[in-house]
Amino acid sequence: MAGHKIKLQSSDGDTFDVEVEIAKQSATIKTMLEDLGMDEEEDVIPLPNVNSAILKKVIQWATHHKDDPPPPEDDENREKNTNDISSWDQDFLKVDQGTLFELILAANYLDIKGLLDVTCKTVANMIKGKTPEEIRRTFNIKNDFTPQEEEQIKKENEWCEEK
Amino acid sequence: MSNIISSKPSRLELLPNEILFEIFKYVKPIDLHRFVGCNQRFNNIISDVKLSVDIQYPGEEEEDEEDFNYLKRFHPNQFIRLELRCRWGAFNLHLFTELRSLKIDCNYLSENQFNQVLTANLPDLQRFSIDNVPNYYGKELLITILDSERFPSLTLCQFSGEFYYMLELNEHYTSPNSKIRTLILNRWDGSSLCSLLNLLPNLRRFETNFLESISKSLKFNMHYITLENLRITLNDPSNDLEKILSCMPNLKYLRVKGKIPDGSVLECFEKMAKTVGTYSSNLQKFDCELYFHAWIGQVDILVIQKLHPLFKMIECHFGKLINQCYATDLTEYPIFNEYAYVERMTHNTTLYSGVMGGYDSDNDYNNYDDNDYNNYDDNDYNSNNGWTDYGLGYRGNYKANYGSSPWSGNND
Repeated sequence: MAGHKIKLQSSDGDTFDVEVEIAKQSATIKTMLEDLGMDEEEDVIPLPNVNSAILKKVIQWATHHKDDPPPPEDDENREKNTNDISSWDQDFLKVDQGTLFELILAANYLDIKGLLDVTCKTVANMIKGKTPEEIRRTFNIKNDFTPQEEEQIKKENEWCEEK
Repeated sequence: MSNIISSKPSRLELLPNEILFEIFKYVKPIDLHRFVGCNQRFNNIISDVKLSVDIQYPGEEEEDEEDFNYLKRFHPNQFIRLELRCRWGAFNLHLFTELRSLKIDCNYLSENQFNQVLTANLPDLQRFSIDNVPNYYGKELLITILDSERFPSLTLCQFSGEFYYMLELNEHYTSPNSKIRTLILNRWDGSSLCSLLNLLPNLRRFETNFLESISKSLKFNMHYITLENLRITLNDPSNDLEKILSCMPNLKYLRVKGKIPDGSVLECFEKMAKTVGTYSSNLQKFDCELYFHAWIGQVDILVIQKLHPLFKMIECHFGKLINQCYATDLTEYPIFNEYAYVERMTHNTTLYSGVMGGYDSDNDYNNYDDNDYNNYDDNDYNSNNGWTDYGLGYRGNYKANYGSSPWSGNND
């Protein structure tokens, strides 16, 4: 029914009224609604893995994209393109890294493919052109290799010299 | 309500493996290799990422081969799509066993690498494009590629080289390949068409240039009922088309390119209309690119458009001098085409260039999806789906000069 709403509850207890059709962009919520037969406006769907600030962002994204066609299925054979992020999404994702990663986790938990795709692309774009040292610094990556293991990796990579 | 978005440590490592894997799928190999060696966990995840790689010199000048050394940081079985347009010593088909799509140009292969093409088994290879095959290898190589034991998953083959004289296929090859759906050859000979098609009982899409007129004595011994999509360049379109269409009763898409013989444009289209009406009752879309050169007055295009329901999109485009082009899918006369009359200024005469089948090996061939054969909208041939664009020279030439494919209007 158009305009019919449900309540989504964040991990910190806040509730959000959201149109069913917007909420159903989340395959997780869609399945819950179908499996549990929840169709009363009083019913509350708890989302214990998403805090209110992130849930608010997710709802904002889903509202903007409510009329989008379903995203295409992944095709492993196709080269992934990261240059097709809309300007609205680019502005939407101008957030700190912590928020970006939490949005990714939320998109994954809620199973919102479009949001997961665009957030992963954004991280991929952050990686683009960076040196190994910049990558370590940007993402605070700890090296757990011993010098011996690093040497072993170098040897394993010498597979392709034409004799 | 909490309005403060938490700022947890911005560590990529906090993300679970499945999400890191999703992110890494979007990172190009030239950037992804910089993660190799960061830590053990990243190494394990990256080793599962499948790679799609274009190896070519980015600029006009050839660069050092060492620029591609970063690819050695990945395992060869990670490569599932490879396009090689420059010399790369590390290329070894015996190692790249997981390839699903391969595009190579023989001009850049060493002898050893070329021999690998002749001997490697690639069980997952679905699409294979090989350009500029040396004259002396053409025959052997095409037979190798069509061998269903070496490339059992191959559904699409695009092949260019000076091999059109290789006529005796039946002597060398007896086992049909029922897997191949799409075959694109830059040239072929009419007298060998039967033997070629007999080898490919499930072929749905065929594209080639015939250098010579189809012989009147040519007899097809069977109907090729799976063929639905045909794009051909003919030496004598009106007569050749009748010969070919008579054995392809289920065509849904047809594109014909060629030169209208001296004589009557109207007569040529009348004959083609009759041929299409007689043999291609299932045809859904017809495109043409037919050239004509004459000082005489043109035919009323409305007359041509009314000859057949599928002819209504035909327009006449005028080039310089006496050049005309009757086409459905062009917006203007293609300046650089192999059929144009050009004026030889020094002798003050006109000269017909007369070179058919000019093959542009550098055309992009991204969009041939043999599974899309049912849909004949031009956009489907040009959507940038990453499976590079196969095609014959006229597409490349047109695209180079007009910035869009003749099959796509202005959509690309």
